[in-house]
Amino acid sequence: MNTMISAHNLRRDFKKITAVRDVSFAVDEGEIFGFLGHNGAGKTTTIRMLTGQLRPTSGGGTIDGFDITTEQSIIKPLIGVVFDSQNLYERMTGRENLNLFADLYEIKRNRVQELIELIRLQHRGDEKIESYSNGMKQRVLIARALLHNPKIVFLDEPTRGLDPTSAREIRDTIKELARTGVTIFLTTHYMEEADELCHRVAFIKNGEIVALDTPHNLKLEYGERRIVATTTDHEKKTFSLLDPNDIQQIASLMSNGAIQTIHSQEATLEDVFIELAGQEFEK
Amino acid sequence: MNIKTIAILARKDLIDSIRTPRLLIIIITPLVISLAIGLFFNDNFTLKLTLYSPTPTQLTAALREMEFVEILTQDTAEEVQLAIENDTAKVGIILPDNFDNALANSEFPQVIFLLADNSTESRAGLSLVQQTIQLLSPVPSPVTSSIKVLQPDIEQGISLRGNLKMNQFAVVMWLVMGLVSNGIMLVPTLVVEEREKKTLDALLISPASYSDVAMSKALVGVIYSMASGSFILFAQGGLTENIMFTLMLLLIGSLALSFLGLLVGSLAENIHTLNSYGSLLIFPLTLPAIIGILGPNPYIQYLQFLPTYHLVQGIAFAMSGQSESILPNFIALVIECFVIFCAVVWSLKRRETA
Repeated sequence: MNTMISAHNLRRDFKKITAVRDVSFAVDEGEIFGFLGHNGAGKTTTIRMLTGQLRPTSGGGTIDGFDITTEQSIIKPLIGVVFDSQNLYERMTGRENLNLFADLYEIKRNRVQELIELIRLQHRGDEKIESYSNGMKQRVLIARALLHNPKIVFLDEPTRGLDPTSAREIRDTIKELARTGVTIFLTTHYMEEADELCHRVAFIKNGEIVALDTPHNLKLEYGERRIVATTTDHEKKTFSLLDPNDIQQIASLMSNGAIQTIHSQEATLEDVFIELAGQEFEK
Repeated sequence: MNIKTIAILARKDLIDSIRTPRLLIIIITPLVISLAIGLFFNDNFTLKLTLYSPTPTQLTAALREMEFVEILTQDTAEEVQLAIENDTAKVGIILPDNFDNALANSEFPQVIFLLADNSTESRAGLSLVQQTIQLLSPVPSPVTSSIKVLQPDIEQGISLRGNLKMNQFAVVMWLVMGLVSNGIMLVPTLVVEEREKKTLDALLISPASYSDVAMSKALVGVIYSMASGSFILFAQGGLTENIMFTLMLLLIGSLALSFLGLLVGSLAENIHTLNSYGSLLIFPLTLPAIIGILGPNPYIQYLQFLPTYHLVQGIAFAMSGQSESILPNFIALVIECFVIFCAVVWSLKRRETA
């Protein structure tokens, strides 16, 4: 498989602060790669370096084999970016926003119509962005990022602040894109979303990658295997399968017939992060 | 830089500026105010003269025939001096007894002229009276003149008005104010808005470069400046002399001010700081036009480093048909425009390698 995104010891300093510290990873074609971390962990700075908006202080990277610092003009048509802010021209209509970027990419206007239909804005496409809901704006942002059929799409918090229905629609679009071979680089605060969408995830903390693997492997490696039992006294108890005392206790309860129900409880990505970073993500 | 990209972005901003109330106000304010020029600045320039003659004289009637001359007759020579000291008149004329007879008999009567100061207005008044006396006599230099300047320290100073009347210069003033507001307020606002609303990030991911974005803003500034400038000139009858020179000065001036606006835009973090920088710059940039309308001023020379100094003087000369005086201003303006452009290029390179 082709490596579509690679970072080699990527580092960015802002005066005395190091925002990203020797970050290295590779993302394959068609992969959905999750980049997870707290606010200020270095997610957006990494995206900005990979997309050529910011020069790395040291280290480097490639996009589809092209150098991120010296081959910007070749890289630009290959990537689409959905920013963490809804940076649309508010006084322009949805269609005008897309037309502007279609002109910049020298793309025919029928592609704009195609995308307007894809994001189901046929009836509101000629209304000003300022009248749109957050979900509609987010859909326009995605359409803008897909206008030129990029090979790689960077999505920075694409579902933040959206209602569950809109978030579900965005997640479906991401899955659909990956199915068509588009490589997705996704940052999100929502661990369930990352778990559902990503083939692999990297956790970034204080500018450094602290773990990188598939969600399943990370949960196995860092998560605590537990079972939850409801006793005949209607009390819910959690037992670690790794703790001999807990195992002995559950065995004793079972032999005494004191267990009403019992369920295995897998670790979540959120548990993994708490294990790695010691703080809970916002939900 | 890509011309096509610049044109696409400029087209977007041209439309967006009109849709944005704040930007629309910046664009149309000079136009609206210029239309009111006629109300504020009627062609009401008057030269105030005061005269004492012991006997009736036809000179009084001859001077009164001129539309822009207001003449006050006095009963004594002392009253003439007093009127000038009180700033009631710029030029005083003290005639001898039987002046008309003496003039008709070519006796070269002694006429005392009192000038308020050495300003252009006083000197022009003296010249006008001398020419009128000449018209009343068949001989050249028909009087013996004695000229006394009451406040000789007030020098003529530099005039940015050229031969333009007050109302004509008011057109130049609003023209320059329009260019300044488009260059110093509109252009940087467009830059800062892109940055503040983070739409700049989206543009920089597209094939557009930061230089393309910056130049498109400058182009919008130039287009609106040229449009509003042409409108003001057309509406106020300013397109009478040296039309090509006037338009070329407008073009270079709007380029210089738009480039200056780009520099301001690159410095301002947000709209609030931009408003502060803009206010600081607008005053000195409009100063040549404001001082210019007040007439000659010895201190105006200290403003020569401003692009608006040469813009104001160049357009005033162009509008008054003084072709030979336009070129030095034009050259100075081109040089200043080039210097500002170099600063913009430096700032863009700095931004793109950040």
